[in-house]
Amino acid sequence: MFSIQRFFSIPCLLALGVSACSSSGAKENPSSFLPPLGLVDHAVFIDQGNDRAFLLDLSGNLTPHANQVRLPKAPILAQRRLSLAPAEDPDEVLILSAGDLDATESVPSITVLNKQGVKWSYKLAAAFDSMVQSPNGRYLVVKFSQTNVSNRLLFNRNEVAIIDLTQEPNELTNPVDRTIRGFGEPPESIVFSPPLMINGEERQLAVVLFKQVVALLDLKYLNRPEFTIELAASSVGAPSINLEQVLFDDKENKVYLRGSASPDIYVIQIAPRDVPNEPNKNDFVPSLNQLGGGGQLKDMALYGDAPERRLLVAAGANALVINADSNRVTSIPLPVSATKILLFEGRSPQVDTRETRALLYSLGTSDVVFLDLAQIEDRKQRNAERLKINSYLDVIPLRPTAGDASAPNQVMLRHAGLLGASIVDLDKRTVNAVSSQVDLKAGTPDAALNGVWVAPSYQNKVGFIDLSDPNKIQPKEVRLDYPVVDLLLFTQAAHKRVLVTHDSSLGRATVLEAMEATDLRDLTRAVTLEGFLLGE
Amino acid sequence: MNMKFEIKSTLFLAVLAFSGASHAQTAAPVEPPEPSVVLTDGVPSAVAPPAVAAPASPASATPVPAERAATTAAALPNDPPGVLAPTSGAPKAAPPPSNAPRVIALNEAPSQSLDADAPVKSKTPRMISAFKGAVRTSFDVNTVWDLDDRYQLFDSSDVNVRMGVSVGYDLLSFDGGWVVAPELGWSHESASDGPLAPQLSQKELRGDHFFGAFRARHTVASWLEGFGRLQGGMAWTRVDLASSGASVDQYSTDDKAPEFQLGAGLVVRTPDAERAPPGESLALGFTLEAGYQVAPALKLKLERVATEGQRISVLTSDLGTLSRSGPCLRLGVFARF
Repeated sequence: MFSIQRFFSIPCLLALGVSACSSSGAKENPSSFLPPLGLVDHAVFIDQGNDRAFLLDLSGNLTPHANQVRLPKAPILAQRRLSLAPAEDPDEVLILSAGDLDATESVPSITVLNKQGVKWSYKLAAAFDSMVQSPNGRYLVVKFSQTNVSNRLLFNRNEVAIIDLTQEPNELTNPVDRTIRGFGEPPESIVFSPPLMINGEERQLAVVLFKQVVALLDLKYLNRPEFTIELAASSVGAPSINLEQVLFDDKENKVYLRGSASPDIYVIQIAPRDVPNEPNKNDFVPSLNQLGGGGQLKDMALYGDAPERRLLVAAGANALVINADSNRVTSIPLPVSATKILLFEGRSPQVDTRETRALLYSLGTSDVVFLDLAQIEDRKQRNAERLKINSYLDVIPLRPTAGDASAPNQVMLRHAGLLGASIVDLDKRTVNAVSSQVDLKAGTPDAALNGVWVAPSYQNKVGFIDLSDPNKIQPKEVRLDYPVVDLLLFTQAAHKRVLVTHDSSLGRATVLEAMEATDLRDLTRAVTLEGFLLGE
Repeated sequence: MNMKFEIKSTLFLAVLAFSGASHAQTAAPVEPPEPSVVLTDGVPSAVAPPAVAAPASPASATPVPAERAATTAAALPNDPPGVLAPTSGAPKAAPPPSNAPRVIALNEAPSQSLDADAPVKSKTPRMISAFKGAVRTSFDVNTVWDLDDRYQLFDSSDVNVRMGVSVGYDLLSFDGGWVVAPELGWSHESASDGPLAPQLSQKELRGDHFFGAFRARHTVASWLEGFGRLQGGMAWTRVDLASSGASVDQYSTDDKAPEFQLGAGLVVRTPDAERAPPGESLALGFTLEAGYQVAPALKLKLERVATEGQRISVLTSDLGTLSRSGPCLRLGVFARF
């Protein structure tokens, strides 16, 4: 006698089997994006939540599809790789990933990403949270930030990893882990020298700043110990120097250091030293000099070639000119107090030759001072000219494309209180005021188009101040369909475009043809891309 | 997922309850009255009884009432004379020759007397009846394995469950126990909120599937049948998506596409239900079918629901394609009468 219940049990078992056989795919985490970055013709969106990057191609025909690239676990920081000139631009993004403490194969790393995808990935020995690039984009130092709260049981704030970005990853030689000696305090910041000729070899130094100690590392020979130089003796109750600025004289191999709490300038001379057959010893030696500036030194700048090398220092009511050879200090009384220096090559209303001049200013005030640096030690305050403008909060240099001597030499001063900005012509020393309904803090200089893009957050407008003709400054604007979040320029690309991102979890951005900047209201060539962050 | 579990639980309980009822029916079967069947041979076809598939095992025929036989034969003018033979109410004069086919009333069980005189069975199935069969209604749960990762947008599992109903009719009967039944049916699927793309606040897939099918079944035992089934139809699928965050945008995609399923399975039903004539018996059972679905992939395009006020042209991304082909398992609970 058969049991019909036995047969009824078949579908029931199968029904349960359906559930058992159905597998769940990898769960996706909520997306959390770092601020977007721009390559030459690609926009990069990094999803921290899902360890991936989206590369949106803006070079040719626009499509709302972004290539998805897997990244090492937990990306926390991303930077555009630096370069000194557009022609040397490696067109890469550097991404610092923290890794996963619970997964042995997921270690902290630096990923070099280009538009093709991941180029290299450098494994790190510690979960650093900060990175500093050399201005030429060759070296990268990865370190702990001052505010780091590591989730590791033990970590050393003086530990750094140094990467030569022109070389492939190598477990032994690239990156190199170093622990910077200090005097009980962690490093404050790291500054890179330009290439210096030392013992007939081109070297770059990394200057690690502590509060009143500097360490010099030879980046070419990282197996050699660093020099640690104490600028002032540490004693109980003694004020700290608070080092905050470093300048390099690559002709004289000198390093100038300024502290916010010191009236002196510290000069380190790099001199060669002969150490034959000792590859682990430095072949140079630093020597320290101290220049008495007097007062509070706020900013400094180097100009001139040897033997006319000078150091210009903003010291409140005075400017100091220090002869780099003789260390002779000349004090120039200023019409108004200044705390910042902007050097520029330009003309003056009186002299129609391009030479090095300086704009001295102090944020929050309503004056700027022009200093003609030629013969200033003789002419002193007669070389200073005061220009009164509206109170300003920011000075944005509008540097034209390098080599374009005919381009106007201008800076934009963002107004305080009043909305808008003043465009100062550095050659003619005239001011054009541009009124605005919004705070122009979001101004983004565009060297390629010689203007400033203004994209105030969470407003539907994007503006462009065309500065290519100082006699005809006509701001343009376009009204978009969505509020602005970020603005990325792709004006160095063959197809000049501007990408304005909008708030959307799926990815939404409006692409403006930057060639049409003179007539932004023509929306027929604008397009909104939507859904490019959804992945594949 | 919860809804799917509830559906499965409900189905499980329903099948268990049905199992108990069937068992009770098996323990105390109610035998329907056996209609008589008369076999004749060599007589021109004028009237014939309704026919069903001949039993696999030899069985004797019972005389059939002349009126009913005549009615049935009139509906089958094309039947070959050697297959169906009129009796004209005449009593059986002689046993049929060994090569004569057996003719059995549709939905009638074979009788011992017929089988005793049964001729040698033909090697190839021959149609012995048409348009006089049972109607079958079924509640179906069709599970399709969506092995495409993109399905994780809508469900955390790989399975896509469709609930539906279908109705079939035993159109053609062949000797050897085969019955061909066309079916019409509809099923509905709904899935939402899978783990993929959490930046979407709404991820909903809904589909309505209208289909026709042909089922060829074969009686293995009084309570068990095997069958093959070919299904074709159209699927109306709609995908609704919505972004999350400060600005929520609605997207919707509609798609119409053909789809086909080929499968085979088993029917377990209450025993001896086919002894009763059509309309006078009720068989309950379930079907279990495994097969494969073939359908074009569904394009998951982001198409804005509202575009008012849009001054700048929009290029929307798509989410790729969602494969709609895959293995399937169909469970059905049916009533046949």
